[in-house]
Amino acid sequence: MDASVAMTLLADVRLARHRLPSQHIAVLDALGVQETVCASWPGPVLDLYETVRMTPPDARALRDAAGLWLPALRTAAFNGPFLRAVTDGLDEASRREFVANVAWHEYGHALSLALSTADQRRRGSELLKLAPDVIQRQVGQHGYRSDEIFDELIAGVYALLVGGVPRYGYGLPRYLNQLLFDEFKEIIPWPPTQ
Amino acid sequence: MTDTPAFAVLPQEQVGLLFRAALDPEGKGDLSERDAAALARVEQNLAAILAERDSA
Repeated sequence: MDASVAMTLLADVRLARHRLPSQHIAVLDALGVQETVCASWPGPVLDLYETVRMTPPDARALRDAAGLWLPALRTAAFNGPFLRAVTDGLDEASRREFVANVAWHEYGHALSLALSTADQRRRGSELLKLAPDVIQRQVGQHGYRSDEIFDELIAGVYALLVGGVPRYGYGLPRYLNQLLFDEFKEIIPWPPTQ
Repeated sequence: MTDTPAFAVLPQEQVGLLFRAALDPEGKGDLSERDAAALARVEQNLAAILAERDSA
């Protein structure tokens, strides 16, 4: 993939980060969260792991990923060739919106993993039943482990809430269960103070 | 931070539903013409990508 395309996609990702509430940007900054759009996949991610001498993710899961949150490296890595192909034919605004939702999902992972407790993360399967149908389908189709379900759920809700601020503000959106919303707020400050 | 996994994967299969959730969180199906066209395009692209990937 042309490096300039990767740079355009990276600009989209960074724009999405800039659109987050200031308080959340500050948390991501404090955690040292970085993002990268890889012009080829998965070679650069494997290189990152080799650099820090850690075992990389499973090869097939890595190959089939649109994006990854790598806690040890504090890095969200995005599959550039895939993002280019899946957004082919979209106008610029729609492409940015698509990429933003993928990016917010990954930033949701970063916040969830940093701010949640082990006790909270054990409740993933229970909380998933309270999620909107489209999130249940999204999380349910991949066969995640129980603790992974929690992370996916919070990341999914985070992307929805951030993207929904212009339409719903910071209150409880009609589509979200109150108990799930309350649980989410125990982890990620919502509404943000800034 | 506790029980931190080594990585968290967003599978390619899921981005269609992620985008659908963003555009239509209530599942009403009442998308604007522009959003409906964007979602259809993404789902079409994704189907082609997955078909090619899984046939390789």
